Amino acid sequence: MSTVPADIAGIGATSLKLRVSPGFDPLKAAVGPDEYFLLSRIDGNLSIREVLLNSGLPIERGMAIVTRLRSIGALLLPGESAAPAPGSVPAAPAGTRPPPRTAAGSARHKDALAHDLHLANPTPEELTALSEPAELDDGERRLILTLERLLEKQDPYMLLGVSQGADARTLKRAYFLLSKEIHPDRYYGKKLGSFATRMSHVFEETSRAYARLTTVDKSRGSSTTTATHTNEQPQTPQEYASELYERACQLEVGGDALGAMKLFAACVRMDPQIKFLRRATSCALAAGQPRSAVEYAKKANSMAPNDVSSARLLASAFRHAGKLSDAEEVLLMAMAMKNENDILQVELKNDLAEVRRLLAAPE
Amino acid sequence: MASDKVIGIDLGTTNSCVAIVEDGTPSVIPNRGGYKTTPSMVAIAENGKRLVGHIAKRQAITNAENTVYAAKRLIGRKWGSAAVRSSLEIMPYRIVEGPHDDVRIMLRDQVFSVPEVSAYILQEMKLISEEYLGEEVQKAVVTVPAYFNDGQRQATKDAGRIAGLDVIRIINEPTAAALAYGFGRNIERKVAVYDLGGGTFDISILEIGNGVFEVISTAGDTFLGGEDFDRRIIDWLVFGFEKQHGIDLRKDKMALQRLKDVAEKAKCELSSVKETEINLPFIISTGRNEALHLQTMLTRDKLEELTSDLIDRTVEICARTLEEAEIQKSQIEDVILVGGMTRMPRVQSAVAEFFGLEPCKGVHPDEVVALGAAIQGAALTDEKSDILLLDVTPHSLGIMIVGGYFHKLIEQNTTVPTSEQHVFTTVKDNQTSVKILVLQGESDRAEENELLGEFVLTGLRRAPRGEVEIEVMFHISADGIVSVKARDLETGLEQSITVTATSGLTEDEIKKMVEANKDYMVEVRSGQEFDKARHAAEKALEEIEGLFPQVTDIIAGSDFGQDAVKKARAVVERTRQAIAAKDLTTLTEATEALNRTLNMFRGVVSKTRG
Repeated sequence: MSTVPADIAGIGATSLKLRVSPGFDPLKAAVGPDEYFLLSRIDGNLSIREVLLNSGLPIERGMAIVTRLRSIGALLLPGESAAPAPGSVPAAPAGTRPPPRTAAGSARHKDALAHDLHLANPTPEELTALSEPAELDDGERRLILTLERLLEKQDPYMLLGVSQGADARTLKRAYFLLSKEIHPDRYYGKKLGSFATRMSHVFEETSRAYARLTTVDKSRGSSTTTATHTNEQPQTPQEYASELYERACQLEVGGDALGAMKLFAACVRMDPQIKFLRRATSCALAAGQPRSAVEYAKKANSMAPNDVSSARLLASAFRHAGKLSDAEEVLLMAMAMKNENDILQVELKNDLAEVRRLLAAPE
Repeated sequence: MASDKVIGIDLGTTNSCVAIVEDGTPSVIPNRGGYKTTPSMVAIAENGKRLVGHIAKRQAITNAENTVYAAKRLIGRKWGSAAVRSSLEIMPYRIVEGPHDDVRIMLRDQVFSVPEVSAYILQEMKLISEEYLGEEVQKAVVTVPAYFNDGQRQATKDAGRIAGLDVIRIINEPTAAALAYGFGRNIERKVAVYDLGGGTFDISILEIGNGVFEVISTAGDTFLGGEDFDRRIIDWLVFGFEKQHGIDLRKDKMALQRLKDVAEKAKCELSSVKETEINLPFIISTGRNEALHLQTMLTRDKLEELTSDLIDRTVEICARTLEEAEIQKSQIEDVILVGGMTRMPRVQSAVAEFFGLEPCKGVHPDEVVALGAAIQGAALTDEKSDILLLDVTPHSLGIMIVGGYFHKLIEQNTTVPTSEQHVFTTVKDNQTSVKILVLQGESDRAEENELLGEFVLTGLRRAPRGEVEIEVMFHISADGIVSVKARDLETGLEQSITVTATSGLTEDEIKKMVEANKDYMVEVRSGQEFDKARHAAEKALEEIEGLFPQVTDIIAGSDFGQDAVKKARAVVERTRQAIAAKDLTTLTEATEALNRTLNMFRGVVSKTRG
């Protein structure tokens, strides 16, 4: 018979008396039969040495089991503490893993969540978190830690616990269900230890993921995001943009340049057509927003570089924004282009004269 | 004995209301007189006694100068603000300037801050609930208009503290209304809350499902409410009287208070009848020992005509809010009306017309907000509550960057808690410190936003501009508290603040600060932007050099051809210099001009070919 060594690597002296962590649930951790057997021998009164000798298992095997149990958070060293949690008493071993348990009496909905709270191979940090003093039950802790792990995968669907490409309604339900478990307000006034920051972070990221999945990608139309409200919106972004454009024009004609600007902004965001951009530019100039005018005009100019009137509009925007040198350059280029429209050519000349006058002015 | 119960208080512009959740049922607590709402009025009587609520209202006519109403319009506002300016003209009580551009109210030679006045009302609500419960109450959830900024929220919290209440949460009035609407009902739908109260208008869109209330979007106008409707009636009466007798009634404080009372009364009556008689005998003395009377009829049609632009404004705000949230009108499944003004038939029909559905009649517009506040109080403290409110930040948050621009880190209507970070760089060579100005608002100009706080990060390494990187992190907690941290990425040095109060600075002062601190600003920078920019610039340079001979050929003959070529050359040169100077800002600007020229070069060439 082999002898019990004085120390076990990673745990310490075999003379220590280990306890079973009150938060530990062997069903969830899916321990094997001999692991469970050894666990059932540990009562906090016997030293590791005594447990190993009494178990009747080969010493090496026994030591391996103790090391593993310790690594999955089952065992506590003297002086370590853990929050008491119901349902941690070892029950009959089962072959399959039952769903995670919830704290009795609380109005929680973890059972409805699709997340796997198994938390395989916990890191030392996670083990500490599972056993630190905090007013949270084991299931609540596992959920937060599981979500922390999922964050690294950068998959918003997995984070929310839904299948890829889930529709808007499914996403919303999953998000609401999850929020009820991880929003800090649900634990208002409780002592949460390290879970206070963990929970806030996990909720923030979940909320961000949900927002990403449910917002139409404004710059590109909608192709990059699958779940949008499109099934509830009969219009395409282009149709909606033209509708906004119409209304913006009406407002502008009615003298409400500022109101029109808001609609134009939304309109070109949705569908940056040259027609919309040009009108938005002149409206921005009328509304006294030369910086916005420059943005719109630049876009229009880059879409149609040989269009003389777009260039003229850009020059005008530059002039109002005080960028006279830029205005001069754009006008010169526009004039240098072959242009059959004599009236436009005269206008360009006038514009250029005005810009050069301003450039020469002392102020 | 102190109670751990949390009361919900709707601190209104004209009336306030208190509610509590008991055994899972929310209910409004009536005051001593049996009324469910209490006038938000505070007065100092001749004997120096403080009067609050109904008693204050009853003596308002005879003691107009010492009776404060609508203090909510002033709370958290600066003396120099337009809001305070316009109040100066219409309030019969004296509003004076306090330190730091603050507002003070003078009643019988005593000076009160606005939170103090609001505190008296909150204290009254606390007393009402304590008498009802038979125990001391310490905690409250207080509601504010959705569009209140941080300064106004902080001031409301201060008022709570002065009143001996721990305000555990401030929530928005329309949100509270939605909580009361959805409480105890198993519904899943998108709703709009149209809240037209005494002094403010708010619109919020929420998604409700499984006991979760998610605020999607919220907006409003802090200076549009029932009092504006009253003022239209007053103006009409004053104008008519002046035409008839040549006397301006507004000059007489007592007459003004009587006009205010009668206008409010007539407005309310016209919600149920088609016309009402306005009768104010002995309204003013002519000075020749004879008194004049005011007697006239006001019809509902006339009232609607006088106020149609106000209602139109609310509808416009609704349209804008939906647009910004990218929600179609047809997606809204129910509209909840909140605030006394929504009793006006024209308001109801305007809302019904806009949303294309009949507004929900199930909630009591005066009580629903307080009930919602109480529900949120229970949601936070009662284990059995199954309600969760996902609230948003009503305004964007960010910092000031070089040039006096506002760089947003957190967009408005973002669900809280939330955090965001961004890397900034120094703007001057050998800059050893940066000042972080924390701002709230939507304008891209710093001075047009509200300054929440500021701090300085010092001890930066002496280096060429743009080399030292500073990471700025924002965090908003679930209870809306903003904290900001700045970190020197090289040394790990950190500085942070938690925004607890407004600085009381005016726009002018901020402008001056922008000027005075321009050497300590930061600018936006992320990662290897310069290398990327250089790469792009070099590619464009290569192409444009290739096009030069061809383009010169084509345009040389035209009027300004030579000038244009010269200009283009200068742009190319500028880009080269910017690359050599390793300066991202200059390079970005130069590349933009370069790309434009390149684009036009391409245009010239293709046009000639085609």
